[in-house]
Amino acid sequence: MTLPVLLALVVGGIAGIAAILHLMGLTTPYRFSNGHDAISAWEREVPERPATGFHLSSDSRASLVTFEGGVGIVWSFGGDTVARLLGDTPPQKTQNGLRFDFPDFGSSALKVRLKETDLDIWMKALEAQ
Amino acid sequence: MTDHLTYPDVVQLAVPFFIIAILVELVWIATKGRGGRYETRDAVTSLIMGAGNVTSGILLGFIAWGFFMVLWEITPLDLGTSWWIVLICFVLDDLRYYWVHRFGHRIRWVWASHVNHHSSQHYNLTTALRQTWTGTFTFMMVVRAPLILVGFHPAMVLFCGGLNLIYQFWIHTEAINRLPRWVEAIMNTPSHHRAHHGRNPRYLDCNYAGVLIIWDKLFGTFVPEQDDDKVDYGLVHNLGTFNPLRIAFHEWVGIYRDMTQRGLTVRERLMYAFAPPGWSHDGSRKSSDELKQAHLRRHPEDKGSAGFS
Ligand SMILES: [Zn+2]
Ligand SMILES: [Zn+2]
Repeated sequence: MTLPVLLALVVGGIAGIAAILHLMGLTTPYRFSNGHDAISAWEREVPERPATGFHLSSDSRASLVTFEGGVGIVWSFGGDTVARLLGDTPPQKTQNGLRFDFPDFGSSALKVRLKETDLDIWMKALEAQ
Repeated sequence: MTDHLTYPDVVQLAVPFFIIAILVELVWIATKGRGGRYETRDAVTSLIMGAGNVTSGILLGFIAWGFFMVLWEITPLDLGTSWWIVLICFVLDDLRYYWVHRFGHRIRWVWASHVNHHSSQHYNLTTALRQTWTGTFTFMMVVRAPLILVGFHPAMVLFCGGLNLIYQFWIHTEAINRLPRWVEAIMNTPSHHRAHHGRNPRYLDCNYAGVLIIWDKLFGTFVPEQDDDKVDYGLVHNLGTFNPLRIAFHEWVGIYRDMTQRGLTVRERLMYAFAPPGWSHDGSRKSSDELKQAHLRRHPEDKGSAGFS
């Protein structure tokens, strides 16, 4: 197979499959329907740190999770969820919430949407750790 | 005699087949309402990783090829090109695949490359194409050296390796549950490979097979998929990024950071590169054995069941 043919196939194939998936509605991000959802997503990822509490974000796409001795975050990642323990680095305030930068190279920065009241709750929980 | 032997690059030739098969799986899932899950960014990321893998093969393939040709110059043996030699080559290269894959899960240096294939939380035909960009840097081509030294031509060995990868494409699906018993007994199947992609403690470090599952049975790493322990796909610590660069290099960055920490002995630095994934100098992380033990402390009823013996 010549290089231009291979290139056309690869680029066309990826673009075509992306378009079909999007049109099939498969780009809709995961949302936690309630706190129980967030806790089970947390415990799937971090089973050795059972959750003691949660605070959903305003768009239900992330949740702060408290556990014995610390705090973590679980968030919607495509159609799935990801969780991380939160260390000492505080998040940055943004126009509509908070931005978390993680020390591991395997996570992009995460922006969480928080209304004024939710932001207060999150900040208090983060400071309390 | 066979210095200028050429075989087609089967993986490149298979690209149109890959695209068609993905579309067929999608239609199957959409019409049946079961048999797998697709998500746009996840699938596109997997496809981009696949394209990057082919690109890295084109750019860096000469390193492995050069190494193999040096071995071919050295060896006085030439087994020729008859069909049964190709067949033996295929089976022995499948054994080679088993060990490279096993090293890929048990040596962090090799895992840094292979982790990428396990980084999706989905399991569909696009997951098969989520392949490494950094395979050359693992130096796992040395495992192929014996094959060439006993007289299998490098082009034949690479041809068999390509066929092996193509075989593994179709088993990345939830649309096929179980195949007839004799197939499940001998061949790597969707069911066996689903277990391999599991992050459940039970399924960690099992089913390394490429084409023949017999190697896992022979070397004690076979764990059958359990109907009462649904496979949870992905990594023990799932990635939080669709950025292909982060996916391709995150574990290499992790190795670098761990090795260059202050206050470690030389041995500890080397262990961060070559010990099994999850090793840490201060016990702050868990290896797969420790994860299995921690699971059994939470679920003692699983003791002695598949994957926990
Ligand atoms: Zn693997
Ligand atoms: Zn796989």
